[in-house]
Amino acid sequence: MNKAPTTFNHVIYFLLFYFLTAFQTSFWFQWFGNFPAPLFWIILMTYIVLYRSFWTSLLLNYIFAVALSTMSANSIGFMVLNIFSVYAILSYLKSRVFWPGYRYFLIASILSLVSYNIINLLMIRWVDGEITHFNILMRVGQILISSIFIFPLYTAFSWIDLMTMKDTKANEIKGVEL
Amino acid sequence: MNYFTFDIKKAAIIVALFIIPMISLNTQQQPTETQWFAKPFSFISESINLAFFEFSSGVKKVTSTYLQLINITKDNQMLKDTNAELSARLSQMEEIIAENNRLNNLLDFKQRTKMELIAAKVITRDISSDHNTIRINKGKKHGLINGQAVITTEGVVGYIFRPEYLTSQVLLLTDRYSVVDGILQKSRSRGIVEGLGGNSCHMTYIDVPEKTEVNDLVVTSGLDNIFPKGLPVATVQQIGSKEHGFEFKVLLTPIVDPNKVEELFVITNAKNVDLAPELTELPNPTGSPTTAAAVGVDATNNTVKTEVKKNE
Repeated sequence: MNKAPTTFNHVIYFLLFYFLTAFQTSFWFQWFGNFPAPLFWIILMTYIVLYRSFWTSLLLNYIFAVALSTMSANSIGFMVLNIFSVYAILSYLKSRVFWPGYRYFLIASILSLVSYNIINLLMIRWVDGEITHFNILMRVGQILISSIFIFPLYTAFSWIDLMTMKDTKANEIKGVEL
Repeated sequence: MNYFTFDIKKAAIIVALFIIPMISLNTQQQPTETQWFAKPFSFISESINLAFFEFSSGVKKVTSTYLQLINITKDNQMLKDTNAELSARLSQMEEIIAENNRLNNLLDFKQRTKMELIAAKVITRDISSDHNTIRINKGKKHGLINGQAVITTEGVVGYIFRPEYLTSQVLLLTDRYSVVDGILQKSRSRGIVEGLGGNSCHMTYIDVPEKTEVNDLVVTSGLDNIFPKGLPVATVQQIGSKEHGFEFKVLLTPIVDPNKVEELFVITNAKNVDLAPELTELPNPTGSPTTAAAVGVDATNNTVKTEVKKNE
């Protein structure tokens, strides 16, 4: 039916991940100071989960979580559990409801942004045993600003897939492939 | 559609992928060294972050000049064009002057102090909003190691907790993992300054809580082997209930706003310097306060010599 993504495609997304995280951590605060930074890397992760096979998305997200731990005070275990929890939610959504297109991707991205923040707070409470600043304004601001970039990023990711591999977007509801 | 067709081999692999991070998950001990399998990712990350920082700094300079000049029109507005161009250069010069003054202060501080310092710039912030860390453009290559203090001319910023080859990650004072040993300047009570996240921190385990006052200055005690004694840390903002002994907490406002720090110093050798001998008040058996003043440095053991005189 559909070809598997090429190695070049994986490399492109790997570098794109670092580019997007560097944009958030290095570029954004120099221009916009303390204004909430968009979480581009979550949108990228969402695209990987929705439009890649189970094993490919699992492995890529694992690598992303390890890479993210080097950019934060969080430990590797914390980041991996956090990212995998979001991954599980998105996989469940994909197994229940799916249709190709921007609107579905918008819903899934917002779900991943919200669930990431909630899971992060819960893990800090349960794993670290602390209560961190809830800071609702900053978190809502991050989600809203990230949402603005969902469509441009979806367009960019789709174009990258178009250029580097044949169309592999899912076009039917699929279960978890084990 | 079969949603869950289990293959034991694949299920075992998935379980192993979940178990590996659980094994490495240890909240009692903060990771101070990047694991070997994460080092390549860390190196790629710091290289890209450094490149991004240099690129955005250059773009910022060009863009600010371009945005100032964009409204210049030709011909019948030549004087206004020239005036606008000069204004743009003037504002750029003012930014350069401000940066120059800032760097002069840093250089002056570095030359005056006996401590060995390495100047560094902030290049990135923590990717998670629940942590307060920054990354600076100095690393193991420049002689930095884990646990070195990071300061500005105003006071404490944090300490290095994860040095890499080219860059280092600094745990800010306001991070919830941060712990600094401090002294309240007026009451001389010792306590532990812990970050609360956001822009605040608090002091706990104060040994003499009754003497705590609002706006009192908290300085480093020098006993945690990270900071030299006497560095300003924070000021007392709010005093908690004094009824519960060891639960007594004092809300603090950091002296240095970590969100506005651009240049800072890493202390590579504090040389046992006491940075606030003139602020030290020692209890006198007669009841009247005394002041210890620094009169020189004892070269034999590299300590600051003081003489005690009674305040009149």
